[in-house]
Amino acid sequence: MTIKSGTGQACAACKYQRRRCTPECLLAPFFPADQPKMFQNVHRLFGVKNIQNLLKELGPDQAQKAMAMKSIKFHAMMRDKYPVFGCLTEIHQLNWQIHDAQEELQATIQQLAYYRQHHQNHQDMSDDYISELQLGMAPPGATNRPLFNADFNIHFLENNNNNNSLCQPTFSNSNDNENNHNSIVMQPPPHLMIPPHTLKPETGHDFNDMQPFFDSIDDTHSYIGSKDLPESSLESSLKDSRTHLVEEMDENELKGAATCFSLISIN
Amino acid sequence: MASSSSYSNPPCAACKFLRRKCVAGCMFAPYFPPEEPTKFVNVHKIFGASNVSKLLNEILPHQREDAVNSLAYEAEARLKDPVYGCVGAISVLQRQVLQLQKELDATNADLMRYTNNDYGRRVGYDPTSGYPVQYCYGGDSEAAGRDGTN
Repeated sequence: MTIKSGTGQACAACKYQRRRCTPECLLAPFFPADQPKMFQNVHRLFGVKNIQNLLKELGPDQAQKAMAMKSIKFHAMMRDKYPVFGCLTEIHQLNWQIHDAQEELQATIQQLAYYRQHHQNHQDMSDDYISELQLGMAPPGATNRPLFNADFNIHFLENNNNNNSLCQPTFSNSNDNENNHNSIVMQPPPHLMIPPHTLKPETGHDFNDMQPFFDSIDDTHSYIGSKDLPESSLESSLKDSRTHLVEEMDENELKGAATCFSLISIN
Repeated sequence: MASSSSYSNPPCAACKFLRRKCVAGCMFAPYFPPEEPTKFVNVHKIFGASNVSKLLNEILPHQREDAVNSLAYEAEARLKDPVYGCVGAISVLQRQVLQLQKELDATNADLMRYTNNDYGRRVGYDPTSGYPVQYCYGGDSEAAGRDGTN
């Protein structure tokens, strides 16, 4: 029959050891009676004496003692869950997660840089094209058809054809060091490294959720022939025009190609 | 007088510290060589030799070396930081993971903007006016002004 402590019940530590739980019991504040398993784990790993020595070394600061006991309980729980590696299991899982996330972030940044560059190039190209057309435009209402810059159109078309390859980004090594992460990764000694396939991901964030999204980004998206383009009559007519233009160009009939387009000056 | 067997089998770090005879089947000998005395001292100080012995008995022999090394790592961490021990390292790594996830989310959001909204302005011709126009993917095809704005 144990003497009850201030809480009205023997703490888990004293209950386990079958001894009196006095009001001065060091472990009573940290091991309530309703958590016997918690104390068993701690007792199994550290032992009562070692825990008491640790608490004594921390001094009178109760907050520090409480925090220390939290970490000790976590430590013991991890050792109970993973008898071989204990806390190192979690450390290794987190290290691998960091490694994977850094790789994914780097790849995403590279892809973003590619899209930005491509967008900028295309913006410049379309601006140039508009300005070229403006130079060659006839006044409104003119019956004569303006001169068509067939050479430029070929160039434009060739560029459009080449866009198919441009739209498949190649992740070249970027020299952009802006987003290099000199992160502090706390690595255990090399001989303690656990291969990732042996880890059981029971805790922590799972970056596999990002993978489906990443795969959904269509790298082969091209300007011409894309299924996402609105199938308006204008689109189809433009496609037909370009197709016809290519045929004309193949036969080296520049004048015939010019007649495929009817350009009216814009104001 | 016959010399003791200590010439051929020096005592392991555990037996040396505990000042006991290191027998042939000493459980600690394979994992606490005499060249690494601090390893056992740390483990003994935090966990205790008897607890370590019980732990090692409960796991398979081929896993014991890993278990001892992980205990040594944790003991060293606890001695360096009596409050948090190796849990401090876990906390730092978890913060790092969260930070990286935030950055990844932000970068993916930028990427989405490019792929969905701003990506793919193309110049074409308005069939009625013949003026060049710019088309945006994902939105209505509207005639652009001379400077290409909608």
